[in-house]
Amino acid sequence: MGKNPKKYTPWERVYYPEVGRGLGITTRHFWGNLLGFIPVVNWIIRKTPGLNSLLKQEIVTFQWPEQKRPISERWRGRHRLNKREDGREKCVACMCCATICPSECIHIVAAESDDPAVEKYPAVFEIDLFRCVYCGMCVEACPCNAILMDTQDMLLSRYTPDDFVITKKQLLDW
Amino acid sequence: MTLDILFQMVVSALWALAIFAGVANLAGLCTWVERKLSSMIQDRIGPNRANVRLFGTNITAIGLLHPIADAVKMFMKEDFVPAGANRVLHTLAPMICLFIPFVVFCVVPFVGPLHIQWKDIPASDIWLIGSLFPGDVLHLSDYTLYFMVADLDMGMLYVFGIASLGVYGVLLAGYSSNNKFSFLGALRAANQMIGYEVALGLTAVGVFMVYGSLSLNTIVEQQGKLLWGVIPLWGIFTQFPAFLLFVACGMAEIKKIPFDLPEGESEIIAGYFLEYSSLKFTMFLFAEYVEMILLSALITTLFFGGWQIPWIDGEGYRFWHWAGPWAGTWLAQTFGLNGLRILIALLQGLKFTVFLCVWIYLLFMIRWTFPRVRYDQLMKIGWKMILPLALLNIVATGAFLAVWRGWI
Repeated sequence: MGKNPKKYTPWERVYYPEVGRGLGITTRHFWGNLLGFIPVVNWIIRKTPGLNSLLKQEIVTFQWPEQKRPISERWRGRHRLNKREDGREKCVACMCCATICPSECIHIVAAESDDPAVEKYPAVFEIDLFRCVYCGMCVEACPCNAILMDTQDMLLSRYTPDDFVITKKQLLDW
Repeated sequence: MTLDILFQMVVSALWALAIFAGVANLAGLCTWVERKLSSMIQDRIGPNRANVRLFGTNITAIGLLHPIADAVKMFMKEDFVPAGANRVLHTLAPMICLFIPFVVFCVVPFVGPLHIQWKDIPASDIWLIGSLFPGDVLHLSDYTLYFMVADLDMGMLYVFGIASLGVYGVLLAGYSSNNKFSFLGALRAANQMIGYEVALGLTAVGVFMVYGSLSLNTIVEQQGKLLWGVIPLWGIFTQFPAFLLFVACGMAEIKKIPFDLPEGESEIIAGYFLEYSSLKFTMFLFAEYVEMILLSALITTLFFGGWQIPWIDGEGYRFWHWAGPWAGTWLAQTFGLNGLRILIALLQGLKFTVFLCVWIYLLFMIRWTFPRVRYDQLMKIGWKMILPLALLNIVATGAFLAVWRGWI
């Protein structure tokens, strides 16, 4: 018993009218959904004038994975590495992302680039998806717009734990 | 024993098989109905993934394959008995739980008695069996066939007596599992079932008083009478308060929401069948659905006229001042008198089944609409509200009948 128990009216204390009211709500949902669910009935109701209000389908199910749920463009999915026009990675191995990463999941080994315009490039660029918390701070920290999280990839399931450490090649060709 | 009795026994045995198969299949179907219905209420779609790949297409049959898939899954699972559990009782409990509701079905009349006026068959004309009864005759020229496994005079007492044994299954399941949650669930179930047993019996007493019998078949036959020649004297019209109380008590008796404290998931995980897996778990689950079908059947029998179709039966029709036997009408000439009676018997079975299904639907709706009551509320509803109201109903019914029948 709470401190201020709700005072029930005699009508509510009889219990049965309120049971009926509750059943009314669930019944409306049930038949509203069911009538729209049966193809023949659905067709009849749609074709009969004046019955359209009966067809109140409120089903919210997405038939995943056949039917994907629309997600926002800024939704942070699996990472990818941006490319330059010549097809090479934009990343200059500045280590900004690896430094700011709160879960320390980015592993970069820098190497000297043979392109005179670029000083360094990542020889190894690995992200441990098990450790990543998808905070997006690496994307914010990157000075060259090289690392992005716009793949909208949420199907992060692999067969072995090793597959969850994604390499530079996978990041470039996602 | 005579050939007449043997014929009735054979029909009863076949009928028992039919009821067992029918109820078992209906209970299996109920798992699908419940999942689909609950999902529709909650704006979901429900089970639709179990499929059979046939001719290059996936046949899902709107989720109807899920009960089969569930059954296969349950067969494949490990039959686990926890350490320290009493093996014998642990195995026995689900059997008792499933056995009890099935046994009760044998007094439920699904179809009315079928009156046959065909011809006498002498024993010599019946192959093999006839030689056991030399000189006997199967009197099919005037024979009443009962579609019941047993037409007990104390039918309702048998129902209450056997149903109250159901508490043993639940109690033994919790007691033998060596688990505190199981034990708590079993204790709750015992308290609740025994407590509501009293109220359930007393609510039905009003019905017995009105129809003057404990035999379910007689109760149903009495409900075929008409008030002022129009309104059928169904239990719901003569005993409306008893009907409301009976439904509430029945819901508590079969441990369904809003009275599902013995298995309250949020409090004691699964209650008394917590330590069960595989087919034993399925048996508990199955027993619950069978109990629900049983409750629907009892409500239909006691309050909705059972197999009685208003205004017509196997012998004739009557509505207000139109009344008469079938014999001689164009219907009897078209189908033949026996054919017409068989047709009406089928209609009676259909009527019973429709009412049964509607009540199963309503019980599911109630189950998916209401939250669980608190324990003190449960006890209060049972002992302080339903029990006095049931007693009051008995007194009021008695007083009314005394005046109505001119005893005072």
